[in-house]
Amino acid sequence: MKQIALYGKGGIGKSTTSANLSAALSDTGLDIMQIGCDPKHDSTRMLMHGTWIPTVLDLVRTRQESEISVSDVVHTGYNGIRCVEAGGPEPGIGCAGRGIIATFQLLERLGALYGDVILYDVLGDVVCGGFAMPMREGYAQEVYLVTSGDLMSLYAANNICKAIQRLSRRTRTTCLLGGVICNSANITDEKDLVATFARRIGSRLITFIPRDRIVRVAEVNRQTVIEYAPDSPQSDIYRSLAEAVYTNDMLTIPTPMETDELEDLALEYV
Amino acid sequence: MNSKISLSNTCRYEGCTVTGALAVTAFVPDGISIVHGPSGCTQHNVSLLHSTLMQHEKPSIPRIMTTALGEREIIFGGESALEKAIGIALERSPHAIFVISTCVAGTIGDDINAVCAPERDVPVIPIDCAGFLNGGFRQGFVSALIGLSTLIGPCAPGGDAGVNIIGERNLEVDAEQNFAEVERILASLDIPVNVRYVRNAATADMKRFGNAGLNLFREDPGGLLSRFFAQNFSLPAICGYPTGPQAALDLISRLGAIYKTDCREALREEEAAWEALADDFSDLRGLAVSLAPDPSPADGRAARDFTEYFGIALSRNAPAVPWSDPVGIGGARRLLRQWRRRAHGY
Repeated sequence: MKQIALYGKGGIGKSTTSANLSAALSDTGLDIMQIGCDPKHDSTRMLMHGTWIPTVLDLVRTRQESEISVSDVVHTGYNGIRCVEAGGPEPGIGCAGRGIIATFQLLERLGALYGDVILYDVLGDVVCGGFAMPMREGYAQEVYLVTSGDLMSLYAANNICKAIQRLSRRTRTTCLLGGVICNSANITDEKDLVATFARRIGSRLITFIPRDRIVRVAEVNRQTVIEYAPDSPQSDIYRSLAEAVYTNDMLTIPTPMETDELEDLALEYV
Repeated sequence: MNSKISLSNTCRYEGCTVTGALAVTAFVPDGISIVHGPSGCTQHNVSLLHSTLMQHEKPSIPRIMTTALGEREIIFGGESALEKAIGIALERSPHAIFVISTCVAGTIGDDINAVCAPERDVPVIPIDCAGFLNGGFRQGFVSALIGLSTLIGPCAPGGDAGVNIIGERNLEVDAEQNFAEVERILASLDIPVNVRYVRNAATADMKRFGNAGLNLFREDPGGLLSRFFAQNFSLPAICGYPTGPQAALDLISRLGAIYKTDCREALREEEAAWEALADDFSDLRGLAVSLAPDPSPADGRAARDFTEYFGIALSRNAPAVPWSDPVGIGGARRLLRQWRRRAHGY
């Protein structure tokens, strides 16, 4: 079983990338599970054709844990992909990070974590220990950073590298960096910039995903690009991403950049 | 509440802020304290208070409730649990409710001030300790004394109803004897005690706080309490219970000055009482001792003056005797008896 996690700055397109990656992997005949680890709980929406599935924490809030079954938390979406949303508290109250930990504990107890690939789609940044959970305890073995060439996005990716580096020192953690996915923001020389960033942190650019109108069109039609426009060039890119991720064996402990160094890099590409 | 560093890296007298706050709020007999956190925080503190009060021969357990936060409340927020607990507390007809926050509540950002804000039949007073996040025992103790000041009524300028005793160490074994010493000194000048803020003082008693002519603080580390009460209640203040003869005489002189009373007779009586005490313990003259625990820098001077008065030498290599800043003649007598037992075995 391959377990991967996608991290990156909020709004960078992690959920779109995750859903299309899951869909592309699933089309190759693999058994896929996608777990959204964000209180926004919109990771799997396109795989579920626009349906907001009940989140694990919604169920925890209203029922005793013993009353929750696998079928309550795992919902079948496109091509049999098993979809889970962790969910979280109302904005401004409680502790979403602890919610992620509780979700993982519940999924473990229910024996719900299985398949050929489990994909964790994690909120913007590793803001606390809870959101590092997918990297801990032997869950995701590979982390992929989703970023554009925007400085703040690179900054967030670099911060996530710090978390991976810290956690990789622990004996119980098997998590390493699998690579960088550039989800384009139409910035000049963006591919070169992100590839250079990836090299500097001791990794590589796995795939460059150009900006394409078809992504938005598929989304308003409540589908992934893979499902809505399987013959589009964008679908081919997601498929090549799926292949690159599934066959990837170049995993590294990242070496995060200093902030000054990162800013100098961004300046070179202005 | 001096902080002595123990052999480990903990401080002997620095527990949790919640314990510090409860050391005040649990001594309001018609109030209910709600500890907003996991039930264990309350259980530990109730056990501590219970055993302490048993030592004081007061077997009653103060009214303390918990919001019993569990994982669900940590994830989704504990404010509803607090609202529910306040509702339950109100059904028990207290005259005030005190809400003390723990580290868990502080970490998840529960806004106890907002939950306590709506007007209810009785005052609901937040004491936002946030457990270890806001310091140690002392900070909790001070926060509670400041928080409870909302129960104090308006001040009557020029009040002469006596002296407010502020911040008694409710958990110390000698709390009542120490108070009795101060009360004795006040009585020697015909000055009554107005309010004991807060030791077994009902909420209605606190409304009389402003009628006093003076605030006497049990102690005031860092000046936090005296500053707060000076800014808000404009009463003259004296900080610290007296340790040793000179401090007792100084207290009488200051009281005499503040109350514009002839204190010469009281000074003579006090001086004679200390001399009689020194005679009673003349067998200790020439003894060399070391003090354990070491007095804090603030107490060091008092300790030196105290031993010097009784002709006892301080020496690091001498046998250790206990030191606990004894209050007045009564406190000195109890301490010297312990020293005598150590020195002579009787």
